Amino acid sequence: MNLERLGEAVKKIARGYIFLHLNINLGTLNILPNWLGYILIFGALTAISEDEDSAQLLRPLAVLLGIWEGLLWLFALLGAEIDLPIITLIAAIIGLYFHFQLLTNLASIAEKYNCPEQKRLLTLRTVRTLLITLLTLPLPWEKYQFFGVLIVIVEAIVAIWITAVLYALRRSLLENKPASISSCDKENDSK
Amino acid sequence: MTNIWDFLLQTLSVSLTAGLIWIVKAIFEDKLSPRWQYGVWSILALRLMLPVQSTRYIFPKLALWMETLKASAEKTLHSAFTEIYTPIKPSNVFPWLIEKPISITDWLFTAYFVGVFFFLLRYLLTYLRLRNLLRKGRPVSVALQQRMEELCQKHQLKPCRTAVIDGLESAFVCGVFRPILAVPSEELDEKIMLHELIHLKHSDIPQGIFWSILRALHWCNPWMHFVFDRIGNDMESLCDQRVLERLEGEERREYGVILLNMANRRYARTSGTSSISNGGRNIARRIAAIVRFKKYPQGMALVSICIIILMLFPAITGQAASFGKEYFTPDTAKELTRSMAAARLTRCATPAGAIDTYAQGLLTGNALYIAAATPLSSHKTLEETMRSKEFGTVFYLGSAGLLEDVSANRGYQIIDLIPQEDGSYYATLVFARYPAEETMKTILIPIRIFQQDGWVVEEIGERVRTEHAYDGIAMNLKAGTPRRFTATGKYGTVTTSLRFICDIVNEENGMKNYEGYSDSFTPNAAFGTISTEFETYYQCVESPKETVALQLFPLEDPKEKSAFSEIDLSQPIAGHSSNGEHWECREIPTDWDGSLITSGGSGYRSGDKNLNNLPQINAFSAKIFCDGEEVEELTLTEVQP
Repeated sequence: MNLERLGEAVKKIARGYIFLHLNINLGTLNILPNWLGYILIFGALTAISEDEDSAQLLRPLAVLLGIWEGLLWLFALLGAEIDLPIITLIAAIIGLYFHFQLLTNLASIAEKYNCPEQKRLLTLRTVRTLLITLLTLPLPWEKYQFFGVLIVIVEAIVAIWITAVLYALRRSLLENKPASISSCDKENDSK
Repeated sequence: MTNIWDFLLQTLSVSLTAGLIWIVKAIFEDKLSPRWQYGVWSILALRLMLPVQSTRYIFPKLALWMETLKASAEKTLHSAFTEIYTPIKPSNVFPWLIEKPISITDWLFTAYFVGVFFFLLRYLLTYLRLRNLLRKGRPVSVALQQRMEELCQKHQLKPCRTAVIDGLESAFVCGVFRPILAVPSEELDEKIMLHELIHLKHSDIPQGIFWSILRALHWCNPWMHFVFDRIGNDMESLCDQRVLERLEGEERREYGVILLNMANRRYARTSGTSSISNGGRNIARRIAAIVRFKKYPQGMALVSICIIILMLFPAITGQAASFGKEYFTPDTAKELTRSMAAARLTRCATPAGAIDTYAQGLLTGNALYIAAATPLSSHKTLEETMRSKEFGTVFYLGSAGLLEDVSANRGYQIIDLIPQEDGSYYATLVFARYPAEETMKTILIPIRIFQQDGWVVEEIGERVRTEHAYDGIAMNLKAGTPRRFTATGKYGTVTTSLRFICDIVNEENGMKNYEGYSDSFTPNAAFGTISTEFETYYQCVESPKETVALQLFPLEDPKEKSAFSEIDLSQPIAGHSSNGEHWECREIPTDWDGSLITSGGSGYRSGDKNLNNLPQINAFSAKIFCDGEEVEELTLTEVQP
């Protein structure tokens, strides 16, 4: 596997996460739309799947999420809302799984190339999954505003941290030593 | 379930839940393992075992459609099983006949009930026939028994009795408490034995019986038959997964070949048994799952559980049935049926919601708001009144029976809120009325707010038209029916009037009912500010020389010790504190009539939907001071109206 190609793929994913986590609205127009984030991540999945087969399974999910975010963005632009609780739930479930598996795959790649970001990626993945699950549940957050605000703050910190760790992973991959690369290549050949 | 509508709502809700699970399973078919694919059906199992709630649904509009359909259909029938004005609310998931059937809907339910009984009987008879067949089987050879014991030892499984049945198509296990493994011949492949023993280990047979019972309860729903078939197949796929986890290398491929060879065999599902063969099409799906055996993404346990948790809430708790204002303003008599259905389903969840909805109904003449905030027993009369209108909008009752001269844009006030021991409340609604002079006059309506199919309101006395001004009536303790506490001592009689005043908040936490009156429909509104107004009247019998003073302290219990503040009441002074304590000292005028009146009030922001933090005042302690010296302390007890 060409580490430069892999590094580029990780960079695309990191940029994708910036679009997903950051929103800048000019009136009703979000100039950092989430659907663009999924397009970037989709573009990176081919390269990732050369090391992690199961990443291929994420491609159709990335398409679905991109379409859903595109619709949300369009409706928001027109000043309307989508009120389809069951579809929103299914989208949330797909998103939950998508990011969980993607970060797991990236952690596997980090482990494979002896990059130090493996543990951090797994921890961030777990924390993010639990936070998103909590926030998606129909709990009365307005009654316990303190906890609701706390969770949102933690989620924001996790989002920033994930992006930072992905950029760090990219650097680690590009700086990876030749001895590590050759042992990994031998492993790939035997498969 | 006691009528066809209970069953229809239950089976449709369950079908929607199954549909949701189906869609999610399809998305994750190649991503999450057979363990998750079967385990996710536990959500459906829970949904099947719980009756649909009367106020929360996976799809609230379904409940409205069913309620409207029921009202339309039952209008001309005189069903024994169904009440039009009682919302559909199955009390449990099992059908029961409560009376002899009369109408067609009663007979349909009876047919459903008989069908459940028939399906359960059919399962039982099939199972008994199988057990009978097994009794005719011959014992297996020592060699086969030994092979089984070695297999059990290797895989840490519990052996079971085995019998050879000639002519059997494939092996199966039958029975829960004394299971028997039935085999077609002595040359049984060990992998087939392993498959059946794993079924035994994981209690798949009792699970199969469980699903069969639930299938019988929905026997006339073809979609649920399809779903239950899929559940059975997922159970087999999970068993395949467990078998593959115990096999190695070439053995796994051989297992797949065994399944392929069974693809052409007949399969008849029997409750109380398990079988490795479950039909050609299903075998194909299982082979596909076997091919994916090692290809499922690893380490997905946490997200698998989180997905089930996310699906569990909407499937089991659903969403509250909540229909906006447009459902309560029908244009035609036909739409009135749907609106009455909405009024039955959207019950007020809080006392504030009930008061606000009822008051809005009076203000705007909207009988549907009245319906949403009054007991279901009043709905028939309300609907008949609405339908009897020859002209005008169906839901609008105008001035007939409501308020002829109300000034709607002044909103309403709530005074004299008195909690009762049984959890209900008494209160007085105050409306502004014409003639529109400089100060509006008032209409006072005493009401009781209590729980019956949600929180409801009923009028408990005459509507009184008074000359009291609308603005400021809350502080006027001569109007309405404030609580009164009194005591007589050596130095005179002390009487205190006490009033609680509430307002109701809207979504932006502004006052909703009075200033800035908002006509939004909020059946779960909360109380905003709770204010307390006091007025104390002291009639002295022995006049002091220079000053007379009074200090009052509210008590939760008459026997309670009061905690009066230290105040110098030898000089003229007046004041009150936030806990309701109030005091006044006055110089005696030359023409003093012996009376002293003191008043005060306090308030706090409640935001409380159920008035749990209403001040508990059941008595007062009063100190009387003459010329700066305390002369008497009295305990004022409540005068019952």
